[in-house]
Amino acid sequence: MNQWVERYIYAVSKKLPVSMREDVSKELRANIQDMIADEPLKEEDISDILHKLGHPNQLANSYRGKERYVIAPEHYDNYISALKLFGVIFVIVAVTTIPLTVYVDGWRTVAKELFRSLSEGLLNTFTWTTIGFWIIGSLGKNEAKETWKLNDLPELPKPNQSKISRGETIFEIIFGVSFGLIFISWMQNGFPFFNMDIVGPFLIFFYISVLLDFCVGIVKLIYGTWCIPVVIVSTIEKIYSLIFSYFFLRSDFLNHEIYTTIADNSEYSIETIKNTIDLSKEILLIVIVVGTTVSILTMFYKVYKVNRKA
Amino acid sequence: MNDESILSNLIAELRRGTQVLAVLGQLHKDQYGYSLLQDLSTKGIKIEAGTLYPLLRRLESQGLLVSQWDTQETRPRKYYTLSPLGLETYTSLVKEWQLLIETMNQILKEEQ
Repeated sequence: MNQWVERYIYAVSKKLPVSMREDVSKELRANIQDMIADEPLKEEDISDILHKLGHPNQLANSYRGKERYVIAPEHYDNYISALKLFGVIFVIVAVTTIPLTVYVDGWRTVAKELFRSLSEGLLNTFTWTTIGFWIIGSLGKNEAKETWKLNDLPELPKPNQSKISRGETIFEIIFGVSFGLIFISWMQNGFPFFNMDIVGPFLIFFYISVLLDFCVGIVKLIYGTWCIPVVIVSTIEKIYSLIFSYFFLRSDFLNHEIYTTIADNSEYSIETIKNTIDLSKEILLIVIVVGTTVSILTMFYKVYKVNRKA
Repeated sequence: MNDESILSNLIAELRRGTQVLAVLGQLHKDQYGYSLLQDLSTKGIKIEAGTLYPLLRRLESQGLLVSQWDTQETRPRKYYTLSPLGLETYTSLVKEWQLLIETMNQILKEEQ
């Protein structure tokens, strides 16, 4: 089927309510095919036929009739995704801060606070998203120009992009961020294993790491597929954590008292224990380097596969 | 707006009023969008494809037409035909139309 016809049908159907889209597209396709019939498929002919049907916006308007709405049908899908996205971001932020607040305030205040901020926050999210989309809808009137060209038709979306599971991403963000924050607060509050003189200056980089992790998650939620922006932020995040792990693991971040404590309670000498721990650090570093490299390569392979198909 | 476009607008409005009646009149038998378009144009009814296709759907949603997909042929087509309510409405509309013609003819004759 002709690319221009598909683009025309897409231009019409994306301005229709979701419930009508499939059937209208199917019918419109059949009708256009009938109109093309046995004529040779020159671009001018296609253009003539599509112009007989009128501007896609005009046709979409006729299909829709004169319904009144707060959210314009062509924005409805985006509106719902935006609502979900903002809602999810909000819940993630609320949930990930629980461990921290519990640590500071105790359980009862937390439950009360959480309920209050969740209900208020979700209501605010809903209100402002709706108002925002209402404004967008009333600004962008459904213009149907008298003259238009085939090239004005919107491009078809690529079908093969591999999806990123939303649930998995949400889990990753919640788990990653809350684990990161708990870990940081442990270190800060003098967890005895760490040498604070060394770890102290690293703390800011731990925070950056958590923030990057959060950003990557949000970008994944927004795009939902392994597209270029997602690959770029993920690569930056992975390279950052690689460099960071290298410097952190190579530093003398452990409290030396640990060696003595372990030596006192076992038959090994301090020297052996120190060597063993150093070796574990090296192995851990290698595992991280290999793991990160593999995950970057897998990501690039996924993107390559999609673009080859398209 | 010049005189010519005023006139063409008025003509378009007059035609628009008769479109539904013309369409309903052609749907005693099953028709798909394009066959109906051709039928109407050979009978001298001017209706744009971009007007007819949405009109069919609207009449269907009002319960005047029923539709059915035929997937037997090489090209799947959506066939429309009058529903019982559509037939009833059509008959009443035809009566109304006859009355209108008589009245209009009377008025136009008096003016001459």
